[in-house]
Amino acid sequence: MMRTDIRKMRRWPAYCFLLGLLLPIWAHAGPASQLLRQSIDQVIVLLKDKTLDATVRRDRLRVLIKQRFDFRTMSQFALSVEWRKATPAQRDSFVQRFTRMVESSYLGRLEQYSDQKINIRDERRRGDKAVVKTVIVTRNVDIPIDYKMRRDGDDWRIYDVQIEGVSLVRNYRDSYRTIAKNEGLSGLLKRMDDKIAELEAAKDTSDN
Amino acid sequence: MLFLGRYSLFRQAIGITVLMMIILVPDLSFAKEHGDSSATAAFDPDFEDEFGDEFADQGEIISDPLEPVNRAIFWFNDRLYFYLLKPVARGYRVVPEGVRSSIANFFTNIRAPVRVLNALLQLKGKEAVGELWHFSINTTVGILGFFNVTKDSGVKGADEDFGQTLGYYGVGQGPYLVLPFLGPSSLRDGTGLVADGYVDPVYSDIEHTSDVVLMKAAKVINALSLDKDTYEGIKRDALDPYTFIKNAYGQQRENKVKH
Repeated sequence: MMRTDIRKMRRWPAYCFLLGLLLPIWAHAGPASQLLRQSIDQVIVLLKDKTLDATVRRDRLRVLIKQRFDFRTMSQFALSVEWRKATPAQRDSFVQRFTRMVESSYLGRLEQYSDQKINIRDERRRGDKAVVKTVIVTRNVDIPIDYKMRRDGDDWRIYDVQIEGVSLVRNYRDSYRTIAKNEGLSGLLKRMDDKIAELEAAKDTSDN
Repeated sequence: MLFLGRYSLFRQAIGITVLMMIILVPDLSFAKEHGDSSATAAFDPDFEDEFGDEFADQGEIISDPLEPVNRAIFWFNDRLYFYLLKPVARGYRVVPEGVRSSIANFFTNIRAPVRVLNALLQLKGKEAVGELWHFSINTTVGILGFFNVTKDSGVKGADEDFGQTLGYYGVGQGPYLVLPFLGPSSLRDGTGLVADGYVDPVYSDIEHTSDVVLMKAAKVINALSLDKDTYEGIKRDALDPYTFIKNAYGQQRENKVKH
C-alpha cells in the first residue's frame, strides 16, 4: 500500500514537467490577446469613471492608445508606395500627423461607449504577427472587430483594425493614394494639417 | 401596420416557412456533416488571407469611372441626410429606444426570405436552414419579429443578398454607383437590389408604391434614430469622405462575398 503511493509520488515531477509543456497550448488566449484585453479594460475603466475631467480623461486615453497602437507601422502601410519614395523627414512628419488623426477619430468613437461588452474570441498567430478577433456586443447587433498585431520585443502592438471586414489601413491607403497622386506628398501633408486644425477647433468648442 | 390587417404577410410567412422546411429537411443531415468536417479541417484558407499583403498595393478596390456623377449624387444624399432625414430621426427619438429597437428587429426579420433564398442559391444549406429557423421562431414566438428571441442562440444565420450571390458565381462589382436616396452601390449590387425586390415582402406584398416608399422611409428613419452619428464621424475624420465611403463599401462587400 505504502509502496505504491510512494511510487506514484515519484512520478509527480514527470507530471509537472508534462503539464509545463502543455501549458502554452492551453493558454490559447496568447500574449497578444492578453495585452489587448489589458488595454481594453484600462480604457473601459477610464470611460466609466464619471468623476474624471474630460481633458484629463482624454490625455490618459491618449497614453493608452499610444502604448497599444504601432503608429509607425500603420503609417508605413497607409502610405505604401509613397512611403518608399518619401524622405526620412517626410516620413516622420507623416507619422506625426497620421498618429494625431487616427487618435482623434478613435477618441471620438471611444467617447460614445455606453457599457457594451467587448469579448475576445480568438487569436491566430504566425511568427511575429497575430490577428485577435473581438466582438462588441450591443443590444441589436454584434460588431466584429479584428485587431492585427505585431510583436515588438515582448510587446504586441496593433497595426491595423478591421471592422466588419473593412480594414482601416487599407481605407486610409486608398484615400491617401488618390490625394498624393493629384497633389503630391506635400499636398497630402498640407491636407492633413488642415484636418488636424479643424479637429482641434471642433474639440475646443465642444469642451467649452 | 399598413398591411398587417390583411394577415397576408403573416400567412405568407408561415406558408414559406412550411414550404422551406419540407424542401430542406433532407438537406439537414448534409449541412451538419459538412459543418463538422470544416471545423476539424487543418487547413484554413482564411488564415493565409489574414496575414497577406500589407505592403502590396492592391489598387482601387472598386472602379469609379462615373466619379463626377457619383460625387454629385453623393452631395445630394449628404444634403438629404442633414436637412431631412437626420432632423426627422432626431425628433422621432421621443419614442423609447426599446420600441425603436423592436421596430428595427421587425424590419430585419421580414427580409428573411431574401436571405434564405440567396443562401440557397449559393448552396449554403446550413446557413439557409439556420436563417429559416431564426425566422420561424422570431415570427411566431418573437411576435412577427418584433422581438429577436434567437439572438443569443449561436445558430448561424445567413446575411445574403443577390449582389453577393452574383459575386459568389464570380461576377465582379462593376463600376461604383452612388444611388440617390439609397447611397453606395455598384452595378452588380444595384442589379441585386432590383432582383431582391421581387422576394422582399415589403416590395412584393404592398400594392401601392406610395406605401412601399413610406415603409422604406420608416425603416431608414428608425435605423438612423438608433445610429450613433456614424456618418457625422466619417465626415469629421476623413480627408475625403467620398473616397472613405467608397472604399469601405468595396471592402465590406468583398468580405461579404467571401463569407
